[in-house]
Amino acid sequence: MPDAPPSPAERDRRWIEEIRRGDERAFEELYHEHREWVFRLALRLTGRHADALDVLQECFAYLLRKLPVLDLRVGLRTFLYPAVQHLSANARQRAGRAHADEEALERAPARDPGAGTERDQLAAALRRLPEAQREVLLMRFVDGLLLEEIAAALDIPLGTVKSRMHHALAALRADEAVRAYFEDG
Amino acid sequence: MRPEDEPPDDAPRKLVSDLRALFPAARVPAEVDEAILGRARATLAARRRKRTLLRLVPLAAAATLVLWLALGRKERDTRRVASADVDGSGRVDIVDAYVLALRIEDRPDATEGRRFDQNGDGELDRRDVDLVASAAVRVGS
Repeated sequence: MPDAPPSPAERDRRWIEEIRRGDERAFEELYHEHREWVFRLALRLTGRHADALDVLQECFAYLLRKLPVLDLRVGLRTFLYPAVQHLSANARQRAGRAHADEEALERAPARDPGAGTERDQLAAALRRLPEAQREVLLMRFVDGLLLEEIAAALDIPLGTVKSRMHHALAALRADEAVRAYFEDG
Repeated sequence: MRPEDEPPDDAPRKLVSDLRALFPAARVPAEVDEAILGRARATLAARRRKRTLLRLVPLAAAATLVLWLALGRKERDTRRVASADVDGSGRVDIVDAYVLALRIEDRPDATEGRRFDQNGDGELDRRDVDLVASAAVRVGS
C-alpha cells in the first residue's frame, strides 16, 4: 500500500529542515507554495498593491531570520498569519490608514462592475459585522485557514473562533441584503 | 446547542465564492520573486560559510593552544636564564652563581630576594645558587 502523501504541515516542516541545511531549492519550493497566499492576505490587510508587495518581501525576510530557531508545530500559513497581520498594520500606520478590510470592501464592487449589486450588498453586509467576527469569517473563507489554524494564528481558544464564526454567519443570515445566499437550494 | 458545538463550516458555496471574489488574487511581479529569492540565496550561502568556519574553529583553537603552550614553555625557560643573570653581564655563567652565593651571605632584602629567587619558594638559599649554576652549564653547552 503506497504511503499517504504528506500533509501540508508535514511538507512545510520538511522544507524548513532542508532550508536549515542550506538547501536553496527547498526555499524556492516553499516560497512558490505560499507566496500567492501571503500576497493575497497582505493585499486584503493593506488595501494597496505596493504595500502588499512590501509586506510580502518583509514576511519572507522575517521567515529567513527565524528559520534557524523555528520549531514549526503548525502549518506555515498559521505561523505567518500574525506576521503578515503585523507587517500590514505597520504599512497602514505609515500611510496613516486604519482599517484596510473596510476600505477594500468599499472598493470591491468597483473592481468588478459586471457583478452587479449582489457583491455590493455582500461587501456592505461584511462592513456591518463586528471586526472580530469579520476577521474570523474572512480568515476561514478567503484565507483558507481551518478553524484550529485560526485559533492558533490569533492565539485564542477554538471555542471563541467557533462562536465568532457562528455569530458572523447568523448575522449575515439575518441581514435582509444577503439572506438570499442562505435560501438558495 | 452552544455555538462552539455546532458544525463549524456551514456556509453556502455561493457565499464563499463571492467572499473570495471580493478579495481577488493578484500576480506577484517576477522581479519581486527574484529579489526575494536572491536575498534568500545570499542569506543561506552566508550561513553555510559560517557553519564551515565554525567546524574549523575547534581545530584552529587546538592548534593555537598547542602553539601557545610550546611558546610559553620557551618563554619560561628564557625567563629563568634571564633572572639567572645575577651580575647583569648579559649572559649566564658560573660567575653569576658565585655572585649569588655572596649575596646570600650578605642577607639580601626582600626585593633582592624576589629578584634572584630561582625556584620561587620565597627563600634565597643554596638551592637558588645550584639552579643558577645549572643554568650556566645549560646555556653554555
